[in-house]
Amino acid sequence: MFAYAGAAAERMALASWRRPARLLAMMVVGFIILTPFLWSLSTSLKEPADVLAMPPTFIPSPFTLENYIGVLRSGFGRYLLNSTVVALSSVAVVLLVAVHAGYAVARYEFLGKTAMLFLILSGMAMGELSTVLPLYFFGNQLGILDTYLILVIANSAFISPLAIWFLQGYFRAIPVQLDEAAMLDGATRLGALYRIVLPSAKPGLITVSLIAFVNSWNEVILALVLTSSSTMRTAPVGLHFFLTDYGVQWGSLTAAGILSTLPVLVLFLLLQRHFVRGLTAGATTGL
Amino acid sequence: MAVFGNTLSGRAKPAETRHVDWFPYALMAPGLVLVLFATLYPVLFAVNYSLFKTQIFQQQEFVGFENYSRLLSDPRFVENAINSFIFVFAGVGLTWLFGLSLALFLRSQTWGNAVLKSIILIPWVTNQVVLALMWKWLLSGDFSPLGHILQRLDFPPFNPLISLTQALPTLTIINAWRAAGFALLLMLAGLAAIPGELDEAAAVDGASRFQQIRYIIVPLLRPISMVCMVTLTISFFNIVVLPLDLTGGGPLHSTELISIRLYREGFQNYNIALASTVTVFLVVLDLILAWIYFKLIRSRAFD
Repeated sequence: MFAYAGAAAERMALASWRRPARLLAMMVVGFIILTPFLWSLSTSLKEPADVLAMPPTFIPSPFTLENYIGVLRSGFGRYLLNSTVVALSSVAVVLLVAVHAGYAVARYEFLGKTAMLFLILSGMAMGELSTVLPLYFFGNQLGILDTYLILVIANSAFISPLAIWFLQGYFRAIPVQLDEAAMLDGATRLGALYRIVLPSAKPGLITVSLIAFVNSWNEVILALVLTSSSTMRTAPVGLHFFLTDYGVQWGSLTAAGILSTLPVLVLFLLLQRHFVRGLTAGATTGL
Repeated sequence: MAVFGNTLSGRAKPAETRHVDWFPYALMAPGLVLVLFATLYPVLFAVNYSLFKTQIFQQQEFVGFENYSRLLSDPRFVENAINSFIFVFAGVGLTWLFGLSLALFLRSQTWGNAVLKSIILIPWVTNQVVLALMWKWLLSGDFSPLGHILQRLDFPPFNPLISLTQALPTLTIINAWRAAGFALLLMLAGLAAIPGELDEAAAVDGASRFQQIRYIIVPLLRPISMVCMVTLTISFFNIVVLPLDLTGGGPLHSTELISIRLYREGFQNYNIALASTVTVFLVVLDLILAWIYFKLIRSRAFD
């Protein structure tokens, strides 16, 4: 979009040696980023005997899915299911809550709004770690530790500040005249939000859902502390225990790692534009 | 936004009645409850528990600021704080540098650049347990390809993660590797707002590429760089999973960050009072950073 003439001319003049050099640099960067992933992928597809073979081989031969099957049989399937349930429920709660709160911030002036905004920003700045002790205490008092409920509450609480922040920015970009026209036509204030604003905010809603899904899918500390039975573990928590309990079975470990990365990676590749917007939502949404 | 609020409430109710419109509060309420759960409640909880001597969650005796003075005079906590500051500030600087260089490198919108940009973002969206696992396996000395290459070059295979002097730098670099994609996104957004003619004018004036970057691009990127650095600082101070699973704070306490100490005191030693005191420390840091962030956003300098 900002390709400009000067750079283009410069590039053309120097293309003879610059292009291969540039290509090489790009490959080096890609290699540095991908090596850990590719090496783990390769390990996960090897037979146990080949995992520790010397010298190390990069292309698994024979190629096998044994590690994946083994990992899924030993309970990891359940962890993936738990992660999915928790992540999807958190998406629902976050959407419900952030749509309304974001709309209030975007469209209304009310007493205490600035304080509320600072509270929301503080929420974005607080790590999971600072909230985990009190949430454990809270869950313990209510007897809801080790359930999906506490995980969904914890994840939603943790994600909503960013979600509200992002949506208020998104709603503000939608012309107010749309709401006003709807209300002149007899819609209620909520009706204007549901029937007019939300449909035109669809990309924003997709972005927020992605933020919520990925954050709760990748969340570890809350899930680690708030659950205790092995059937309630989420995928990353299961992996954390694999890592500490069987720290040397690299074939199974890498297979489990790849399995718990896959859903997010697929979403990332399918919905890149939304993803990018979601990742920078905190930093580029203004007031 | 202000206009809408006025016209709407103006039409519904004359402004002179000064009637409070509860509608926005009702809309905010559920969200506010959740936000309070992640903000005020933990802060009050931590401050409360930090003032007591505790047995698990039982408050046994009010001790005032004793936990604080004990923590601040604890050489291990001083070490934690130093580790954290090195990890955060060196890490943020490195990440920003990676992000800026990559953004300058990938600035033009070609197909290849788009692919590489996506690749660079992968570590940022990947679970930290998985990242820790992958690096552990890659660096684990004997059977890793890296160890093999070293052996071929007649170096003994070594594992920087268990070295007293190299574990913290390694952790810092791996974390910067993870976050580079995020910095890249922000820097690209910043670059997109700089008109190309500026560089060209400088080039005509005989500025070298480095001079253009140093004296024109970097100053123009200052606002977004600030936002980037504050965001990363917050995120790095609070990081726990990557260091926990990569080094677990070891060897000895050489990579034990404030966040790792908090986790250990809270969930391995069940010393809730001490963990709460560390939490207060961390929250104060977070709030200061959030305040700076609030100011930055409010100034809208990067719009």
